[in-house]
Amino acid sequence: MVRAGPALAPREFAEVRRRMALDGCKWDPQVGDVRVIAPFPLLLGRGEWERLARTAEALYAETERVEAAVMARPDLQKRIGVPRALRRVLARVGDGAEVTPTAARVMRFDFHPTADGWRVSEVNADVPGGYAEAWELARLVAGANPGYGPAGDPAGALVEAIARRAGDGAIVALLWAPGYMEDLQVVSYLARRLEERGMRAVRVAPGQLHWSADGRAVVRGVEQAAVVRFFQAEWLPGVRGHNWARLLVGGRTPVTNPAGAIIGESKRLPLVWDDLPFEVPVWRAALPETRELRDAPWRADDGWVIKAAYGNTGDAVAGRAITPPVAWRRAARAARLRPGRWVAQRRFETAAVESPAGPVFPCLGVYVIDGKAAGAYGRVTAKATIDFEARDVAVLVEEVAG
Amino acid sequence: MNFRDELFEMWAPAESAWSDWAKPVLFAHAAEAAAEPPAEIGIDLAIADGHTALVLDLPGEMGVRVAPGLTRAGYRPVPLYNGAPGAGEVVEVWPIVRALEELGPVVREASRGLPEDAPPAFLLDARRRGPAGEVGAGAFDNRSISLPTDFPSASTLRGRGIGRVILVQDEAGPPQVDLAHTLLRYQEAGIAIWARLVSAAEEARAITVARPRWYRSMFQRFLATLGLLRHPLGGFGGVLGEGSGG
Repeated sequence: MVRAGPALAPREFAEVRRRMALDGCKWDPQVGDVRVIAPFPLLLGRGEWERLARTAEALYAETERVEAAVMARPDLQKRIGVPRALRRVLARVGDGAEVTPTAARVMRFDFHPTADGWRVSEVNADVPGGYAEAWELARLVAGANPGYGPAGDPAGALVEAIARRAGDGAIVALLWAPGYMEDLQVVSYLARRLEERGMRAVRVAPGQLHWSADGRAVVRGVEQAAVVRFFQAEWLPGVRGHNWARLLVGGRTPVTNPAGAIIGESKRLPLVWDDLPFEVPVWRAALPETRELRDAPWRADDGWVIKAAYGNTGDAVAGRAITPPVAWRRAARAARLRPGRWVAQRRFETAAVESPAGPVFPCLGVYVIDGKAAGAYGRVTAKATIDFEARDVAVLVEEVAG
Repeated sequence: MNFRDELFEMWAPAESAWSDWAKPVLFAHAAEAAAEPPAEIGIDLAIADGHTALVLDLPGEMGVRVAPGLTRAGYRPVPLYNGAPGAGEVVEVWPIVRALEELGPVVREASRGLPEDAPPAFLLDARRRGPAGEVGAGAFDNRSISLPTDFPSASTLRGRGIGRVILVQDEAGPPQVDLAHTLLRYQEAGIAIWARLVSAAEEARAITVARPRWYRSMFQRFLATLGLLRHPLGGFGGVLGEGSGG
């Protein structure tokens, strides 16, 4: 399914690390004692990548359909854990307001190899990151792996999609949470790519984005042609002094990602599949069984994990067998106190891949942008869960012969 | 090798045992420097004993200006500046970029013959958290915080023979609250924490780092987003998990 390629020589790896740091906006190449860039790539055959890409595109289509259906069902929004303040905003759609238009739609589906084939652990439907790692890192490492190349350029695809919607030379606001280096490096990378494409980019905090009376996004008195919201939706209600609702409903400036992302992002979404008037066969085949906490033996059975409805980078995933005791007790307590914000999911065993660093557990995040697969962001860990201690790894795909 | 590569190599040479921790963000914004080097600042330090690391939490570019003297005393300066520069920046970091550019050659010269495992002197901007409250509409909010994961772990320090950390500040007082999270980890691991002023007004003395609020909670991450949650970091954020990007 997937294998690890050879490790770069120390001098080559140092150069890759430096290029990522100085040119690729990878400003956190070291976290504690961990070098977060792996010195080897993950290699995929062309056929394997095509299968993953088609599956991700099918998941994208199903997700969009589910989001649209749940958008019209406040009862289901509550059940999947959409925060009340966001539900109030989404309810305006039912009252005749229009969803703010979409600049481009981005999702990233996290695939894991198992003995039974690929499994999907989640979709990052709201604010997926990893663009520079998916393209710049893969390009840098590809040179040492003849016959292989990057799976795609998700930032390039995103920029093109925005350009199609906003127009050449447009001004694009990139919304981010100040203080977060990992987020700043993503928006700085996207800003660079937008500017290389001939657009103008401005990085702003939520309080600096204003809205005109007719729903246009304005920064420093200048109307913006599009907004990239690299700021997770569930944080928006906590922002004081900012009409954040326009990012979702009632705005006229296109936004990435749109309001529906709130629904797609919830890890509790599978709980309402049976309430929909259509089937989601690709999701059902790819995602492990998912249940309400009360319906799963997650406290005693190591075959289950619990996930927060809204969490990212795997930090809000816990299991008795895989989480350190203190963190497990903390997560279990939080889940017991607010079961409506958590979900239980059957645990699957990711297949280890032999690498120059020993056995590693890979995760391939496949981007889909406006319906088309656009690249892959790889991470590996020495343990079976992907979280903030994961290392970034280049994903390379066998090039088409000839 | 272009100018930025050369500059990064001056401050984070491949042969140094501590270069992995050097933060690249300011170097990524460096440009060819033409100005005269800013004045160095001398600091009255004993020659490095090999068992003491320094954490210089000094305002603006002061840490960079101290670096040449530290290097001559046997320390390896390690820039840990997290704030990114930009037009209208809330925290002035362009002067730090310029100082890094202009004093880079001086540090390179001073570090000739420095052992690979020379003890580290971590350089931070004491103004990194900037003013509390909201910033102006035209400002680039580059306020930042120092995290424990910016530093080597206590076990790595101890494994390399470091048994004491001296915090060097410009003004008397306890460690800043974000930095206290790191220093307390070191203290709990048996590393002695000392403090002194950058001026030679007082000698270094042992201190006890008090337990900051939210210590070790929720992955020790501060939500540094304006207006989201109030927090002892001067009203600048609250406690949460990771950033937005998944």
